[in-house]
Amino acid sequence: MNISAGGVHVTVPPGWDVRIGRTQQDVAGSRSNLLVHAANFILPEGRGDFGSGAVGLMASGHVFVVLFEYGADSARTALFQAKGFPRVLRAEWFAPNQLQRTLPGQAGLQRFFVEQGRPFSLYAVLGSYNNRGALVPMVNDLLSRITITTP
Amino acid sequence: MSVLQRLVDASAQRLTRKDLSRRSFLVSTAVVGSALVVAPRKFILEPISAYATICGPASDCASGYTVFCCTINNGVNTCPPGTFAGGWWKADTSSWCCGSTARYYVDCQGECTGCGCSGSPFCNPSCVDCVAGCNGGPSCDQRRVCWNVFRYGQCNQEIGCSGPVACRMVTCVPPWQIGWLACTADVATDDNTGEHSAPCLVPGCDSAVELHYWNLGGPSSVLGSVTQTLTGTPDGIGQYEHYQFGSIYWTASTGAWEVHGAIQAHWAALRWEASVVGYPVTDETGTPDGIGRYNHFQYGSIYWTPYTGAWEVHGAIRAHWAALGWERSVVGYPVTDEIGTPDGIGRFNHFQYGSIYFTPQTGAWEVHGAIRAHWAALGWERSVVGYPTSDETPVGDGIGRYNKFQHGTIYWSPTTGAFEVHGAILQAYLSVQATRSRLGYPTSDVFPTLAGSRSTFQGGYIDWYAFANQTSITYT
Repeated sequence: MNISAGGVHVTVPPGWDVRIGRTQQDVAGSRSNLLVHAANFILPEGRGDFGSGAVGLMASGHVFVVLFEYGADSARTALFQAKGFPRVLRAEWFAPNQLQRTLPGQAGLQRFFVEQGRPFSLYAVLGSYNNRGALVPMVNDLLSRITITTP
Repeated sequence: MSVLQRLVDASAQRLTRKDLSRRSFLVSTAVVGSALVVAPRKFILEPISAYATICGPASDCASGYTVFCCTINNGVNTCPPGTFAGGWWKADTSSWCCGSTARYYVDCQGECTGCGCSGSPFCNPSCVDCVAGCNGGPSCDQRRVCWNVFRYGQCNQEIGCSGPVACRMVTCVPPWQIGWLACTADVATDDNTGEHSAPCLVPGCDSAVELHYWNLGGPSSVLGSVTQTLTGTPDGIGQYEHYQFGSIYWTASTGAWEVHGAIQAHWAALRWEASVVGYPVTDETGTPDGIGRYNHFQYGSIYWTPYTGAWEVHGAIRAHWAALGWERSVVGYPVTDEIGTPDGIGRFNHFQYGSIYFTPQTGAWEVHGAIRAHWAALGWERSVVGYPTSDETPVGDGIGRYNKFQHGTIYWSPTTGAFEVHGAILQAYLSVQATRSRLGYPTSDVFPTLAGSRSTFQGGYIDWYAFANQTSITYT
């Protein structure tokens, strides 16, 4: 199954739940941007944009991935100096404290990058740090199925 | 007996145990009291502790969330030294912010010192000047400090390398509208954090003072964090709260208004609401020229500029200054408070370019420029002419100006300068239509002669003879 929206295309792996949407609008003047959530478990409603509400449900075999887009003017800043979508992550890059919310046993990784002139944050959570050798290839498989184009 | 009364009684019984230290008692009573204020229905109806009511869900270390900045930053709800705003999110479902539509959280990231990030957006936590761990101490906010290596990423994007999240501050206005946070308007949302809190964030929403505080933006406003909670004024009619950088004062007749910075300092020096200006009736407001700031009060105003400082103006002098156009008038901004004259009769304020003098008999009038300088040289109100009885006024020939005083007039023209004329000589001068006569403008003050006194003019002089009490005009 393929899904796409806002210039992001995903070939969904079997058994995965992938949602492409936009961040919520706030008061006038704020910006709503593209947001992708992908997980190899059923995503609950009421998730925070970086997975709060979902990561608490993860089992040791689960992975959860976020693509969070920023305004185009951020692309020229130091935070987004990395160019190109990081499609291959290494297991040793993940750590138990690299999480928005550190839950026992889990591990995470975050990268900021620009692809096609669009600034993003990639955030990946593993259900088990000890099982990272098996889980990181699942994350990389998902990332290989994502294409970012100009919207 | 009401449910609330039973609860209070039960709490009181628990708090009067003999093994409770004085400190424990005070802390416990404060916590129960705060719980009742913050969430009375929840505290009464649900089987949760007062601490849980205040700090909200997931307040222990194992829950994995980050501590609030005010918990670890001496009660101050801002990024502590060695950290910077790294990103933000909002919670729409929060019951905080006194009814605001959303509550905003800003993560404060540790600054990396002495090492870089080498391909990652994060440096080694050992390069950050804070120790990773769980917050200890008496607060129920036991969440993590400098632990979570994560960044929302909307703030200070010129910093590409950061440490873990040291703590999070809260605000009731969008962070991207707060200039010093340097955040973009890219919205992130996490409603799961909406009820997270800490004792140092407990707001009241029941008083006009507290509501005004939150309407101004709460801790992220110009006032900063609360340093003294709601307190009654000594006169028994007002309430106030003090904050890091200002105060809000309220009475039923004036409403709630903030005072801060140099204006607050001057108002405090004048004895706050017991001062001659009373309670504030406006927030601090900018003047139309973009230079000054002011608060109006019940009985006066305090005006400030970076060049003049903060000074009060009140009563008849303020009313006359207002009629002249406030700071846009010919006298500009005040440079003194209202001061009494040495004779005990008059009052005055000096301004940038002039003065306004008042007595009950003469009213309030402005004097400025060369006429003011000459009046000052003559001895101000102690001079022969006394207090002013008019503003500076054009003569009508398009050339000269004058101020009338109790006992004389000071005339000025660009060619003659400023000189006073008084007494019988003034009467004689006026009888020939003064400056419009062949005499023109005075070229001297009245000075004594052997026979009496004389004033010289552009076109002659007037003598007053004391022995006959008569004047004579001589044209030259």
